[in-house]
Amino acid sequence: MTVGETRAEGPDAGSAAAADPALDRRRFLGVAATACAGAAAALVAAPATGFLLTPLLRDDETAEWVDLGPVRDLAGPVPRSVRFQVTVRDAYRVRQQTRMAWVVRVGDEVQAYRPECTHLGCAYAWSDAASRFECPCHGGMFTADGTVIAGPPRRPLDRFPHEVRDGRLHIQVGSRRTT
Amino acid sequence: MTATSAGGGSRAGLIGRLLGGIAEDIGPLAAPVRLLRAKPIPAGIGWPHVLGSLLLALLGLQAVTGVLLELYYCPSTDAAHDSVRYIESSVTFGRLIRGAHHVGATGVVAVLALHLVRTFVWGAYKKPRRVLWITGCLLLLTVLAFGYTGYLLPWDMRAYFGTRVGTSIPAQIPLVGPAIGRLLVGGSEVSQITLSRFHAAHVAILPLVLAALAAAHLGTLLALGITPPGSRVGETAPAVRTFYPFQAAKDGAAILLGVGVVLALGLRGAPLGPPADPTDPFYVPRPEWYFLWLQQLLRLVGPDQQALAAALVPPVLLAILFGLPLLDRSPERHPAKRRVVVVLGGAALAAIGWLTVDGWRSASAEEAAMERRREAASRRASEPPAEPDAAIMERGRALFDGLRCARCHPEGDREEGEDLAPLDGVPSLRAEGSKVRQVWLVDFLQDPHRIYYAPEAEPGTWPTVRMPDFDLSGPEARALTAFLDTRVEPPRVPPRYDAAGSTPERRQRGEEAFRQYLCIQCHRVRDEGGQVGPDMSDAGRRLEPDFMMAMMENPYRINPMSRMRRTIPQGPDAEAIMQAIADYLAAQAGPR
Repeated sequence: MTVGETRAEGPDAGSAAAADPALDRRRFLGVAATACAGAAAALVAAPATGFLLTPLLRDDETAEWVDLGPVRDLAGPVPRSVRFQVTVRDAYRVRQQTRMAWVVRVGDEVQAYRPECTHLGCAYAWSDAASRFECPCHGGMFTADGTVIAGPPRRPLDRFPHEVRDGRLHIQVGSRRTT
Repeated sequence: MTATSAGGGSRAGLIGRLLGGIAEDIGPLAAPVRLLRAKPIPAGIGWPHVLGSLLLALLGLQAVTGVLLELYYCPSTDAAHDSVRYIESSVTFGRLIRGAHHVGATGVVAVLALHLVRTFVWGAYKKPRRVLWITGCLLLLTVLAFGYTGYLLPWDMRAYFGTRVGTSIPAQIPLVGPAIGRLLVGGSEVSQITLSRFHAAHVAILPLVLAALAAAHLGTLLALGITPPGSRVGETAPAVRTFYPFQAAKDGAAILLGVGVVLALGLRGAPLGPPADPTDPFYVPRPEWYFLWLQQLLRLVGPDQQALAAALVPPVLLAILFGLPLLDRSPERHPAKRRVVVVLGGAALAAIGWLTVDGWRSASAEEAAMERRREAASRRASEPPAEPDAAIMERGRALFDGLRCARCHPEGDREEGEDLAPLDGVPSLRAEGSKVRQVWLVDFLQDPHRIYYAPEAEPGTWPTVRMPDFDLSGPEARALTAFLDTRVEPPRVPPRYDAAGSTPERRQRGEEAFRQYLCIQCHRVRDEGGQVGPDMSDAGRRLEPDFMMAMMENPYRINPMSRMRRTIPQGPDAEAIMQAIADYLAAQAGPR
């Protein structure tokens, strides 16, 4: 019952002399089978790859100006965490989110920092005792003007673009990091 | 042979040796592939036998597109529809992938059906492949379950209403039906839990079941081999060639064609209707095409036997399907030698085909009718009520006769004896003009619904026969209303409601009286009240206040069959109490 590696038993294998054409036919069919399967797989793989790579192809960055309030109340020499509401378009949902910024006055300049450590994104906090920002994760430390004092962070704190209009502090909230 | 040759000695580098070692290690795992490649196949195997491989490939395609969709889909009633729209509009190739999943589902069912027909015609379900037939039937059920659960996931109108009907049908089954319905839906109605359950079934449970069944099916096939066409049970046929490359090439071509067609049709995307809205009264649910025949069959049985049919028809059909190898026990496989079985099978197939076409046609006709009614409804709101001139009256009378309204609504006078026995609880139309308001009747005639909403109320207290929908147009409904509105009975329903005396205080007194005199025991107003009598939540829109007062005065005089009793005591205050209650009820305009 086993046929195994028999060579040539196509429907027209009766002619014994046709050993070579039969072998060709066998080889051709083998290539055809593989090619068909490969083509079908490629047909599926192409759009599937595009589908998977969508996050690379889509620009989902947002930027929105938010009014934080009177700059006089917000910005002092000691950094304050300021919470604000922002409407976020999150893929197919739109919703209100509460976010936060560290606001401080350094000399004449008002600064608003993103509340994520520039090392790996942990939340950091102002230490009144040590007068510096401290990140609990890996010991990153920053001065009030955002400069790195110690730890693994390689760049100063990220700042929100900001403007003072009519005495009120506006910051640009977006997914893009701007320093 | 592939495994060992790869690492052969020609390239003696470290990598070569390493790969060779790995190839040797995994060599045994490739045994099934080698077995399949070298599988001997008998004569007569050809194009009809590509269906199994094609089915496997299409199922693989469904798995790929399904997993991809799962990257973005959200199974929440709040977000599901939005996430599907997001896939269609914002994800690269999202439209194509969803379209391919949709078309692929149809492709799987179609190819599976052809595969089953081929198996049937060739008699391939006979010994020793009866297990193969059983796993195949189980695969069929699994695929249908995929369709049934996947249908709900987009959470659009089609999905929502389709599933509402699809889960109500098994719920009709006597005794166990309600429990089945609750289990399917995960509660009392199609809701978030339903969506979660259907989603879990569709992406986690069913794929596992399918994989296990497919493995069993293919493993058995590999062990037993393909049925030699035309052979008798017990006969062996000489193998004429190997699976690879002869049948493999045909399989490959079929797969390429099948996948290509699915992707090409998928370019058009898949339908996505408006988000599920349970309040739309004009939506006609339509199941997926491969369930249409079953729905149409249940429909042909008629409403009275439907519960029984829902309980009996599917199990009987399944029993016949699964039991086929036991029913057809002759050793012959060739269709010409199994004429009775083949003819019966063909007849069943033709019946399913006819039911599908018929179901498709009636669903389309209903959709068209509903669309007309939807348009009429949107026009109705802006149109002033028609003047009952003579021509309209004549038209209304003609409709009344033509539609044979009097067949069900008793016309004869009770005192004189009746020539037409009233069906249980169907109201008389003799005083319809005194009873109901025109504005309501025009609506009702175009979209008849039960006045007694509560299905759990005591039987016999409401019409067991629902008024048929005569599919009236707006002008027709207005003409019939104009005619019915002339049927008044001033002696029995005298004008006495004092509309000018209506004040918020009187309505307030009316609400208190409605409780005090126990009206609320039987009549519902919004969320409160009994369900013996008709719902009064929309009494102001539906009923003439004069009629309500006449019923309060003497129910027997209006309708001797009514179970209503006078509860307001005779006396000097009676008139004021009834005026107040009528005033209260006349202010009830919801929920319709």
